[in-house]
Amino acid sequence: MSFERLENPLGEPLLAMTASSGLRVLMHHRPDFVGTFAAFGTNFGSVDRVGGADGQPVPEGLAHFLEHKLFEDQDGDVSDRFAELGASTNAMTGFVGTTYIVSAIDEAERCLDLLLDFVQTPWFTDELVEKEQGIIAQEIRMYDDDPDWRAFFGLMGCLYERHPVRDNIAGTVESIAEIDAATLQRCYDLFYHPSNMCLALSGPLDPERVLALVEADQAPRGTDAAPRHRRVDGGEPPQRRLERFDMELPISRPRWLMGIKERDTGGAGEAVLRRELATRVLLDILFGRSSAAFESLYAEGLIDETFGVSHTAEASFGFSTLGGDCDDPGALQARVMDVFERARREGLDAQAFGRVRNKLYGGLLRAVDSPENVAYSLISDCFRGSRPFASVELVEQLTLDELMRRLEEHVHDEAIATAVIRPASA
Amino acid sequence: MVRPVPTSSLAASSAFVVLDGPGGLPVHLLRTRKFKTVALSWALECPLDERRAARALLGDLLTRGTASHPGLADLSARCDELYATDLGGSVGAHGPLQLVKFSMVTLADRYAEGLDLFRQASELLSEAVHEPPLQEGRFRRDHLEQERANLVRAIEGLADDKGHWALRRMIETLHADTPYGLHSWGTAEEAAALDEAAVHSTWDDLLTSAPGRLFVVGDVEEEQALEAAERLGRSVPRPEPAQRLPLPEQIARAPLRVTEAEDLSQSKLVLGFRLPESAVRSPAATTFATVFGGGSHSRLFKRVREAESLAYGCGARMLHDSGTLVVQAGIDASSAARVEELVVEELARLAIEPVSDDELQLSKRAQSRRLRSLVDHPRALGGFRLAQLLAGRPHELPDAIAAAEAVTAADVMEIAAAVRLDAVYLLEGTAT
Repeated sequence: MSFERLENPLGEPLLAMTASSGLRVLMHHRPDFVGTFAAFGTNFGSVDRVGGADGQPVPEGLAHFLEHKLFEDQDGDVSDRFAELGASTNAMTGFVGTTYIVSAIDEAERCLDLLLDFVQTPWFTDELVEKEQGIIAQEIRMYDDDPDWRAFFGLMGCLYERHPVRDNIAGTVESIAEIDAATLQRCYDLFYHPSNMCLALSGPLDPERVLALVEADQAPRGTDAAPRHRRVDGGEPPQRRLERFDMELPISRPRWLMGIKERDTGGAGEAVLRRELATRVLLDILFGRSSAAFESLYAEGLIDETFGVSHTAEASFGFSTLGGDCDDPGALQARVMDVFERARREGLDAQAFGRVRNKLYGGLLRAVDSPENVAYSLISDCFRGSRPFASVELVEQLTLDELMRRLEEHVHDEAIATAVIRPASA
Repeated sequence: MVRPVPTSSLAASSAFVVLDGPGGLPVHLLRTRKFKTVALSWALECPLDERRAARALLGDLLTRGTASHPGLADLSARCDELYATDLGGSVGAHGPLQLVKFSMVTLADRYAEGLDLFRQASELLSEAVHEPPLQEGRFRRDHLEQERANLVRAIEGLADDKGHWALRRMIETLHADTPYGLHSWGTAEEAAALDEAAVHSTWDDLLTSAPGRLFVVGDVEEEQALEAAERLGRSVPRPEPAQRLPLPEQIARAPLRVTEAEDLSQSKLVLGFRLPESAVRSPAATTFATVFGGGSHSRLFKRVREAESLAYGCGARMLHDSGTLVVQAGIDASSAARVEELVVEELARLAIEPVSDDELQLSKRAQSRRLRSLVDHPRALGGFRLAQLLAGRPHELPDAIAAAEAVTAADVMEIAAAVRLDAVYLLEGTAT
């Protein structure tokens, strides 16, 4: 087994291999860098709530709980062992994946070995689960006081009827109370199979030594096929569930967040990535800092530097968000809808399209300077089934016609919801 | 044992040259082809005085339009054309100083199809700083009013991030009536009162008399960096930049206690400690803070989170520029007294029992990794160098690493013994 060089639009030194266990390994070889950044991800996130072919439910917040618990094994806290090697470690759970990371300079090979080892050696006891429930409950309470977090999940709850993207990634104090060691083990066995995982590295390690290390780790894990599991319990209607979410918190200014639910879900690989890029370019042309809309809304005081737009596309769900601090959410929403309407009538500015493509290209190149960004994007590409740095080529292929089609497909009144967090009345 | 630091390779990848720029503006240049980007930052030094709100306003006002790209959209479009060149204007507090930074990040010329991107981007930054879209010699009224309103809102919005707000309130309590307790944006009242005359004269003074340094990291020749310095500094003679900023005077008193209530799910406890100047300036201060509360291997994490499950996070860090050690935790209000008790107990233990060699080495390794990894992060390199220069600490990376390596268990114990609890702030969550 050996690394193969992965051709990519940026000509970056990317290497790839698939171990006998099914684990995919991707490496950005940077001999001129001092540190190694490694990310070990599993294609299991908060939206994976149907466990196994029998359809047994996965409790809300389980993927995140599992992430916490893997850091503790029979010998104690794994973070301590990384610290002994001079490394730092962390993990994060998202909608579609859980990623464990390590940042190391000395002993990078041992750190890589430890990363592989601890993620693949679970140790769950009810006593430790109970202790973790208290810690995660504090984490949930921290998010409860965060207006941006509340606005986001308030919005998701309006957009989605059934899809678990509507639920808080960390779960609720009540839902995590239902988790026990047996449930953790059942979900671990389902979703942490090597063929459902990806290891991505960026740094100066010798690729041959990485290869030997991964092979030594993976060979004993066998070649059994991964247990079957389904990602989504379908049935999500195309329209929003509710038009609006309102809440009061002790803050100084209202937060306004508008969401547009993707109705055109499905597809795989670069089709999903292309949908995401096309929608981002569309939104940037219409609402980016160089747009006429941004300038006039800013001049009128309806938006400020906090205003931003984004789009997330996955195979089973997708959404755009637009928002920021705003004293008059109603007026801003009406103006945003006017901008969409005008673009429908008058089309998009070709010059702006060229500029935004330039900007995206610059941004993609800039991101390659960060080993962390590279490792995360390699994992996303792997799970999505797209080529590394494919965005650079796809952005070049986009056309104005395609963006107009996106506008027609994506922006519909019945797919739009808003969340408003207002300052609590005294 | 900690492995010997490979100082030769580290020295090579962090070897700034200091050029004497036009008007005496020091230019700290790290020439490297390692990155795809070039980062430039011009850091100007001002007192944290009554004009701080005006300078905070200038950071935003000057980067929203230029004479030849007067509108926000015009200037942003120009940045897009220059491959997402990022222009920035910001202020921050550093000890008794307000640092005003004008910065840019752009792609290295070799990625921009033959464009001399660094020259064009630095010209754009220079135009933003020196040639705003004036009308009859005055800042445009609409721009000024919008940015003033935004600044007032931003200052009021500081209270919305409860973790940061609790820290701010503790700092204001501990450093009351000194520059060390002031926010670099000023108060909402000060910002609301700004008029054209005040902002204009502050702009004039900033560009003609504030000392500063220019940092450039990337694939840039010395001549190009000096040309950028000329464009930004305009060869105006300036005083020498600060070398070793003063620290707050020592005060011995019973800890000040402030509790404020809000309708929150989680309470925020922030403890502020003072250290004498000798301790703040010692390399052991960082080692001590790391042992005490710097990460998952620290005393506070082990005790407060792992042993007693009282918090999702509990950590300590040194604010070197104000000589303050800060401990923060997000907790249930009912646990506040217990968490404070644990923090004080762990501190007392560190003052009387030498840390084990294992614990000391763990902290040193963490510090060493943080310092050495700076060479992989172009923007962080300039920021680290500036902070070290202002603190009078070793600013060459190998020297800073060597200083940290030399810290002993006795040094850490000495720091712990010198730390004094001075302010306890609790933002009490009252949500049911």
